[in-house]
Parts: sequence; C-alpha cells; structure tokens
Amino acid sequence: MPGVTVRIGLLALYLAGMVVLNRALRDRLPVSDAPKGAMAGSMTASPWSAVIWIWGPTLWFVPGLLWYGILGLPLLLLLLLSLSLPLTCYALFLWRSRVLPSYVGGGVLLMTLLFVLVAVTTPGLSHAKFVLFTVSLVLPALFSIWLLTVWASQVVPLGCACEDPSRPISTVPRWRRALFLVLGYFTGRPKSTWVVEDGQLHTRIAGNPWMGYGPGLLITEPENVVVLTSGSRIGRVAGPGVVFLERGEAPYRVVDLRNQVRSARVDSITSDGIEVTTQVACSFRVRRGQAEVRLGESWPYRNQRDVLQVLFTEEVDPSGRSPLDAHTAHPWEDLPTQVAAHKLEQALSFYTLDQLYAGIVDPLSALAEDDPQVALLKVHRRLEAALGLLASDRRREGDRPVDRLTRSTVDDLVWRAVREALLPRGLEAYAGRIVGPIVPSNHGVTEQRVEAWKSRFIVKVMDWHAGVERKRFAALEKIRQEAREKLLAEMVDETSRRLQAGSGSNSQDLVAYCILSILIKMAGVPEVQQLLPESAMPALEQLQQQVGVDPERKGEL
Amino acid sequence: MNLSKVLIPVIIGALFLAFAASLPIVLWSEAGYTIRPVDQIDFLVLVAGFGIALVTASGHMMRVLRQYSQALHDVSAEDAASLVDRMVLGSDPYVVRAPVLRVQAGQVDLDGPPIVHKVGGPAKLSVDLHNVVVTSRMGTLYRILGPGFHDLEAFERVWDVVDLRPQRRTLTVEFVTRDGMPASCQVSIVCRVAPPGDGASNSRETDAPPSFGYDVEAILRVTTSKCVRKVEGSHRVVDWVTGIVSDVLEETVRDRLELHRLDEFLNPQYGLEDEDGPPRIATSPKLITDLESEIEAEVRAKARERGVVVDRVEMGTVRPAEDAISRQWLEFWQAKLQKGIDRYTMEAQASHEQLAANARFEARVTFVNRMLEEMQSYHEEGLTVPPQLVIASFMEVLHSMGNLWPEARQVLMREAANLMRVVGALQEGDVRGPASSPSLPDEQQTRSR
Repeated sequence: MPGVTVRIGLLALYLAGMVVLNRALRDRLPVSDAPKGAMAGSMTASPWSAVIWIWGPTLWFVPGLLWYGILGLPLLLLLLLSLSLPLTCYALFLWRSRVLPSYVGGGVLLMTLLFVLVAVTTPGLSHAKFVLFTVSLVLPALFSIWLLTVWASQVVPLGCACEDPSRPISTVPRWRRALFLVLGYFTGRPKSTWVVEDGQLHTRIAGNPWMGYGPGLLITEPENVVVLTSGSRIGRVAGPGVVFLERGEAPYRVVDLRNQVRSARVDSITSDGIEVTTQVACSFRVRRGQAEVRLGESWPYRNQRDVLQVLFTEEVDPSGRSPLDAHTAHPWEDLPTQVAAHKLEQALSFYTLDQLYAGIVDPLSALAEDDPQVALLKVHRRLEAALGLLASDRRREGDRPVDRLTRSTVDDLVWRAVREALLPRGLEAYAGRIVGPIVPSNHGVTEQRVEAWKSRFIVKVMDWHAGVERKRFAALEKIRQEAREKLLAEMVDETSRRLQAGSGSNSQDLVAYCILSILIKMAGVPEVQQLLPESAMPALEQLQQQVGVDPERKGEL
Repeated sequence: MNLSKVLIPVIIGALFLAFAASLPIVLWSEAGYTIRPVDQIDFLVLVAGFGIALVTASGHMMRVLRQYSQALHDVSAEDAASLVDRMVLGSDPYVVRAPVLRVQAGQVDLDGPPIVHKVGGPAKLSVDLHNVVVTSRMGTLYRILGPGFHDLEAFERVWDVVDLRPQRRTLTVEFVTRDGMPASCQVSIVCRVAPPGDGASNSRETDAPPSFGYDVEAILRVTTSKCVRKVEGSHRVVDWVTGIVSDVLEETVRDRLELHRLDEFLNPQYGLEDEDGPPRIATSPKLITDLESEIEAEVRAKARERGVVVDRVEMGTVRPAEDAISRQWLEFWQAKLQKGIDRYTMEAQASHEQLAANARFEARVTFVNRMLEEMQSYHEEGLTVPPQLVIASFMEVLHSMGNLWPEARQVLMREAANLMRVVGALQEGDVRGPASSPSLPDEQQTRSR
C-alpha cells in the first residue's frame, strides 16, 4: 500500500511539474540574453543544453520511477535506468545530428548498457516487465524525436531547391538541415541566423559562425542577394531566398537587385561662358542581361562576379564628411550618378547656350554648309568623339539627321558613355536622362532673354501709339483747316458787307480802312491778343489812322 | 487536411492502447495471480504515466518549435505559438483559426495581423475587388492572386499590391522653350495596369457585370519594374504610377514642348488683325490639343512596354515661369485696349468746342500775323502805309493762303462774289455797287432763282 501511495504521489508531482515548467518556459528563450548582432554563445553553452532545453522539461525520468515497487529494482538503479535509457536515445540522436561528438554518444550508450546489464542480472527481475519498462521509457523519447524531425521541416523555412550543388550542405536532406538549425539553437551556441528586411540585414539569432552548432541561416527578400565573407575573404553571393551558411560564413553586404534610380544636380559652363544647371537621373541595376523576373524563380543576375564587382566599386571620399566617417565608403548606388554627372558636365560645355535649346528642326537645310544647324551637328560629332563613343547612325534617318533637340542628343550620348563606363563595374544603366530643364544659373541671363523677347511686343505697342498720334494730328489739322476756311469766308464776307454798307462811296482808302478795322476787331479778341506780339494792336491802329477816311463814313463802316 | 492533425493523435492512441493492452499481460500473466485493487491502481498509474509522457513529448516538441520560431521571426510568444500551430496542425475553423489579412484600396490593411505581415502564412488573404496581390515565398515571387479569398501557404507573404483602378496623377512639367524661356505646363495622366489580351473583352457588350481584368505578365512587369530611389526612409521605392509619370510622361512632355518657341504656344500678336506696322514675326501657335494627341500616342506606346495602359493624357496650357512675360502679355493686352481708348479720346477731343475755338483763334492769329508781316517793314521805317498796300497785302495773304492750303482756295472760290466786289472796288477806285460789278455765273443763277 505505501508503494501505491508513492506512485500516485509521483504521478501527481509529474503532472504538477509539467504545469509549472510549461508556465516557466513560456517566455524564456535559450539565447535570448545575447545582444542582437553580437557573437553569442556563452562558455557554459554545450550540447547538453539542447537536451536540457528540449527534453528536460518533459521530466522524462519520472514515468520510469512509477515502476518503483513493481519492477523489483532498487530505487537508485531504477532512477539511473529512467534517466539513461531515454538519454541514450537523445544522445544518439544528437550525435547523428552533429551536435554531440561521437565519443560522448558512445559513452552514454556504454553507460546505459552497463546499467541495463546490472538490472538484467538483478535476481528476481521479471524480464517481461523490464522490457515493458524500457519500452515505456524509450517510446515517448523516440516519439518526441520523430515529432521534432517531422515538425522542424514544417516550421523552419527551407527555401527553394535552387542552390549551389557544390556546397557541402547541399548533400544534407532538407529535413535534417531544419533539425540541425533547431538543435543548434537549443545548444545555446548556434551559428547565427540573419534576415534581410526592407533591404537591411537583421540578426535574428545571434551566434558564432565559427564555433556555433548547426548551420547558419540567411533569409533574404526576393529582390536581395547577400555577399558572404569567410573570415577576411569574400566568400560567395548568397540568395535570393533561404541560404544555409557554413562554418565561418557571415554576411558582408546586402545588394539590392531591383532597379535603382538616383539623381544629382549638375552645374556646368557652356562654351559661351554661361553657367547652367540641370538635374540628372540615372536608372541602373546589377547586370542581369536579358533575364526577366519570373514567378517561382530567383531574381535574376548575370553572375556572382558582377555582384562582387559592384561592391568593389565603392569609393572612399572623405570630403564633406566628419572625421568619424571619413573612411566610410560611399555606397555603390551613388556611383552611376557620379559618372553621369561628370560626363554631363563635360558634355554641356561643348555647346553654347543657344545651341543647348536648339536642335535640327529642318533636316534638309541642316545639310547645307552655311546653315547654323551644321555647326550644331559638328558639335554633336565632336562630343561623341570626346566621350570615346563610336559614331552612331541611330540619330539619322536615311541621310537626314534627326537630332531634333540638343538636350535629347546630349542625353543619348552621355548615356551611351555612362553605360559603357558602368558595364565593367557590374552595373547596367538601362535608362538615364536629364530630368529637369537646363537653366542658366544666373537669373540675369533669363531676364535678358525675356527683354529680347519683349522687344517685339514693345515695337508693336509703339506702332499703335504712333498710329493714334498720326490720326490725332490729322484730326487737329482738319479742325484748323475748318477754322481757316471760316476765317477767310468771314473776312471776305465782312469786307464785302462793309463796302456795300459804304453806299457807293467805295474807295481804296475805304477798303483799306475796312480791312484794318476787321483786323483790329479780330486782334481785339482777348484769346487772339494773347497769341499776338504786343506791338501788333498798336501797329494796326496806327495803320488805320494813316488811312484817310471821312469821319462821317467811319460811322457807316 | 493536415496529416499531423490526424496522424499524431492516432499514433499516440495506438501506442497508448498497445501499452495499456500489454501491461496486464506482463503484470498479471503469472498463473493463478489474483488481481487486487492495488494492482488496478498500479495499472492506472502506469498507463497514465505513459500517456502523460506521450502527450508531453508532443506538447514539448511544439513548445520547442514555438520558441525557435519566436526567435527566428522576432515575434511575440503568442504569435509564435499561433504560427507553429497553424504550420503543424493546419488551420481549422474550430481549433486553430487562421488570421485574415485584408487587401483593399491598393494596399494591405496595416491594422491586420502583424505575424502575417512579417512572416506570412498560413493565413487567409482577402483581396478586395479591383486589387491584385503578388506574393513572395522564401526568396522568390510566388503567386499572383486576384480579387477573392485565398489561403496563404507557409511563409507566403504579400510582396506587392496593385490597384487595378484607373490611376490619375497630375504633374507640372518645367521646361525651357526653344528660345530659352523657362515655362511650365500641367499634365495629367490616367492609366491602369494592362488588362488581359488587348482589353477588347472589357469593351464588348455583354450582360456580364464589368470587372477589372488583369494580365499576369503585366502585373509582374509592373511590380518588378519599380525603382528604389534611396536606401532607407519613406517613399524609398517609386511605385509603378510614379514611374510612368516621372520616367515616361514628364520626359515625353518636356521633349515635345522644348521643340517649340514660347510664341508658338501662346502669342497674343497672332490673333491681331492685319494692321500697318512691322511684319508679323510669330508663326502659327501650336494648339495644345495637337500636342496633347501627339504626346498621348507616344506615352501610350512607351507605357505599353511596361504593362500599363494609358487611358488619356490631359495637358493644361503652357505658362511662362517668368513674371516679366506674363506682365508683358498683360501690358500688351492693356495696350490693345488702350489703343481703342486713345482713338476714342482723340476723336472726342477733335470734336471738342474748345479745340475748335482754339483753332479759330490760331487761324486769326496767323492771318493777322501774315498781314502785319506784309506791312511791318513800312511801319517800322516810319513811312505812311498807303491804302493800296493794305489792300495788296490783304490780297497777297489771301493768295498765299490759297497756295498754302488748298481748302483756302475753295473758300475763295465759294466767296467769289464777295471777293469780286472787293477786287472791283480796288480796280475802279470807285465801286458802284454789286449790280455794276462783273457777275459770276453762280451769282446770276442765284439771282434768277
């Protein structure tokens, strides 16, 4: 009866221990204390950590103790057997999984055999019961190993089958690789696991690439590859996808295989000395040749050499940098724009400002020697030669040049030069262009152009003003003419009227007197008097006095 | 149906039953052994212990994998547990409910389950009408999923979403005209991802409800032709519409517009009637509608290579960047109006009485001055001016005015009767009256009337 109580008590403890351990382990991770990115793996970490972390919480030895009093073995031996029988399964499994060295596995096996031998030779032992006891201990252990093996391959991302067959890891079945990763993690000293997210490399499981257990793991996005180093040497290009890393391999740089575009401002001086500014954009990518992105296939790139070459083009330029990062290389993505900006700056200096906005608008006249378009064509050819390009017939239709816009022609020439410069560096510039207008840096140039443009409008407006003035003068002249007509008519009419009023006694004196009287009358009007010289009125009156007319007649007149 | 979900309980049950069945045989197989209640309790304890060991074995292996997943994917313990459960046991509406990630309005629902964002399936993906999703799985682009409800496989993530609705973008293209004038033009584009085939199926008259079709190749081309413009930060990747706008539309519009001079787009002089003045310099203005159709055709061809269909391109008017140009146009317009005003004012002035009175005074002054000029020399020398000289001067002034101003001659002709009377008086020295003076035909006619 006491034996039953002990067994029930053990069973109760077993259940309680399960619950407690489950709760205790819920938020604890084997290597969670290691800082991310650091080479993790404490000195206390060992293959036995995997046993403790994976199977320790199962309290694998407790079911064996339930046989106490039934099997007829001493408690110590029962305990040793309960511990060692499943442990042997775990040890052999870990040995097969390259976590435990063979001698440790062998040692555990020998020790267990020894315990079994002692147990078997114990008097009064029922062999049938012992076999069932052994089965009851080993079966859950084997079952857990089987589950781990099956489930690990479902939980660990194993990637696609497209991998380098020359790598030693490629000979290992995928399910075993998954198992290696999980077991390695629970040793407390795994190889690292890295993940590329948004183009950035993140350490997910910090480990030791040299001393860690299991393989390392690298998971990239579809559009990234990672250059791996092995020690201080460039190793290989890994990805895109899930990549198992071998001993010593660690990520060096992430290379984005997608199309890249970068832009930069370009300042230059035209051949007639005008400073101009524009914007240049370069679209490029790691060389992929004619390959296209397809579903289910890795993002294409031509070869590893191109990817590595891309990284070797990175330049160290301390200018404009703080002493802290003076020796940091500029990213390779900056290179195409730098090359393009330099070539464009040179190209713009071949043209005058007017030529930059010009083009071959009339291909027929552009063939005539005296046409300014011929000079422009010559500059195009000169630039083509200066950029080291072979003469291209692409911009000719038949015998006629089709350089309709200088900017487009410069674009074309510069991009041919940039493309050729980038190809040996593992990059292909698939498009490039001057993205903004080419504008003079000095606003005065534009203002002057506007002034010149305005002149034609000013001429027109002045012409309108002149026309109105002409009409105004003509109208004024007409008024004057009418006034003169009226005056003359009045003069003649008045003279005649007065002579008639002289009732037949007309004489030259009388006529003269009449004329002078009329003149005095006219000059007497204040507005007229203001316009006449001061001596006019006295002179007229004196003249009238000189003309001898009878005083009687004067009254008549 | 996941195999583990059936197989594992079956194996556990089989092992348990086998153990439970074999235990009585081993324990009580001796002949004549009487089974006591204590033996039954032992049996139950051992069977329970074995059962617990089996269940614990499976439970702890799940725990092991949850812990590994938690570290691998950097997610919470709950998310890792949920993920491993779905991966190992599969989704079940009653046991393990799969999270649902929604895609709508051209983007993934950011409030959706983070584990699906970060790790991917197994999960459900709900793709709204007029959206298409490109998924990735372990480093490759995996599937293209149209509108509907889909099962995401393990580690299958949403890589990109394409909105199938027509997209409108408006851009201001800055350019420099052929004559070096900075200007700008606002352009809009309406485009969408290419439908399957030539898109004719959409336009065909059928009873079927209209839907946004898509071409798998076009979707793949559109999503993989995106450009990265900076290493990190927001908007680091240019989406396909922005790519079309900046790479195709802007470039084409600028290349086209820079072929022309400013006056070719907008020239106030061109619409003027022919007038006297300098010859018209400007050529015929380029109609924006002509340019629009040319540009649209070119953009359409370029966009097709990228798997994009351009519905239309809409161009605004060309606007000069310099204020001075607009100001000049304004001044020109003002001058055009002012021209009419000036003319009207001038005409009004001309009819003004004061102007006429001034002209009369001017004429009188001129006449008096001319008379005085004729007689001034005699007067200055102190000589007596004879009446004949006054009369002769008068006649001379009349004569010279007639020579100078043609209208004066006409007046003299009109006033011929009166003039003849004066002349007669001078010749005869004693004028008898109008009846004895030589008569003019006009005067005779007047009298007879």
